[in-house]
Amino acid sequence: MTTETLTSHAPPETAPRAVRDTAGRRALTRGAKAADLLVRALAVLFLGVPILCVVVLSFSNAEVLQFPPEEWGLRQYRSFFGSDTWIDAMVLSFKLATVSAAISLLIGVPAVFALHRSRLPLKGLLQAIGLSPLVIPGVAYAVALYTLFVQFRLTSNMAALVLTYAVHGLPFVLLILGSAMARLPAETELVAMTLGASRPRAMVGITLRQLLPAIGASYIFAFITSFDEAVLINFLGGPGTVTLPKAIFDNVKTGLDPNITAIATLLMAGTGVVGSLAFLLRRKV
Amino acid sequence: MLRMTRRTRRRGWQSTFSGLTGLGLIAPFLVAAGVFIVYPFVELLRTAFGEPNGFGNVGDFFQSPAARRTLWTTCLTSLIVTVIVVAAGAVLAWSLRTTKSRLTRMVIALAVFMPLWMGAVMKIYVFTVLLERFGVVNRTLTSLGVIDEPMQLLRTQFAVVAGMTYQMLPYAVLPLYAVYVTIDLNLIQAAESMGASRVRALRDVVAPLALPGLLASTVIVYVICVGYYLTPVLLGGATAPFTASLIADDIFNLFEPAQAAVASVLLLVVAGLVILGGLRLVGRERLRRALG
Repeated sequence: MTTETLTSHAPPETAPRAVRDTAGRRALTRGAKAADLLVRALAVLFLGVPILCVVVLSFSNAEVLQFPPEEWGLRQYRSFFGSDTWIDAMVLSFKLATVSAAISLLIGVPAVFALHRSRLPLKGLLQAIGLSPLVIPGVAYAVALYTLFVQFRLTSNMAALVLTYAVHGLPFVLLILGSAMARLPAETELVAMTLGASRPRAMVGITLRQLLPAIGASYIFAFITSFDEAVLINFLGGPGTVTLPKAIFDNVKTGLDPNITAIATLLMAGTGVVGSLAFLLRRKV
Repeated sequence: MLRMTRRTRRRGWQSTFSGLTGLGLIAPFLVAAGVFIVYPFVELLRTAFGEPNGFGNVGDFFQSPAARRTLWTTCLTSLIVTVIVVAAGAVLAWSLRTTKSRLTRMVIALAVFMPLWMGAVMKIYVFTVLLERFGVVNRTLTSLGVIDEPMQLLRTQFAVVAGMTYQMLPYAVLPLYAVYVTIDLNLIQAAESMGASRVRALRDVVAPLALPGLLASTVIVYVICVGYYLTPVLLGGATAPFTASLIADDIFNLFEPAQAAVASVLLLVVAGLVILGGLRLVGRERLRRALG
């Protein structure tokens, strides 16, 4: 559009060339536009269709997966809620995630203060180590932890698993809380102190209070990470520890239980709500 | 009096804690990271270069053509996925950034966010349902008459590529969007007002500005892909030539932890080299931002 209006003002002696250029350009632009639209449409379909399928299938009344469903109903949901195996797995995952995310905060919040507000040496290195579980190839990390668990016979040890998950959620605390803290001016604490507040009072009343939304968001992220964790559990959990992701993993290996469509739909809705909450909380700081 | 002032000044009100207080605050982190991040890798190296053959374990790994092939397949597949993910992610994020239509924005945002709400195993479950012999894709294609009989889609390299792309694409879009936000859209208008076509404006003005961010995402996506476990094992099948499957086989079936450790170390080396390259090309801050 812009090119057309532009060339219409072009000086007459260059007109023929300009016209040819415009035509060429327009064709190119059109081609690029079509390509852009195609990529967008394909990407959106690719991302959206699997989700729609699982939601649709979850309302099928059939005992085995079939598409399109012949009979609609809530059978999958009913049998999921009636199944001890699935409910137990879900409860275990929930407990694990609740506790380990809390420990992530207990370790992470003071660490973020130290990393951003102290004259501690080697802060960059420590930060990099804390974030490394995000970039270390997952399998390699799992095998490394496996060697640790084997050495100290920690397999199926719940406490060790909880701590591992807490460290696994730590990068999110460091990232989310760290970026929130970087945006808070450090001097406000000093202002509070000139007004008579003690150092701890200023720290809690000014900085920590302003960080509360970010702390909430970090908790949610750490929680979701632990709740969904499906790789480490294979290597560290032993046969007795069946979290929800582990149960689904085993199920995909052996056959496909249509109940999972109901679980997936419910969890997606749940994660969507909690995840959006975390998103809003992050915006607050 | 003078001494007093000096003391006050030394303990003075500073906006930062002393190194010692910092150490106290970070102590739990040091213990946790030491035990659950640093030490496991020491132990991994000891396992990899320990029994049965010490450093010869690496030689054993490369002696086996199957093991060599898994390393190659893993690196190549990750590269394919990375290219698709960064290219599609760049387009999607750019649409999110520039579209004026609320509908387009909402559709893309939903498509990007919804997969993020689904756990990793869930996604693989869904892909299994889609790609099965009598799954959704095969049913649809047969009933449309595109194919006569169901294709083998599951337990192929295609399934792994599709599954990994599905996992990574949403994660790539968000940091790329954050990169685009820093680019002033008026620059495009400025370029066009000086006679550049839209394509030229994007190529010569936007692309150079976005390039470091795109490279950072490429590095991060590649490194994460190399470490994928669930997707190769479940969508690629037990015999698929992926390092992750080899590792699972070594640990759970063959009880050869040394070979699993060697394979893990090799993956770490690949990832480490890629990250080093990324650090040299775009620097630490951009890589950190590409993490999301």
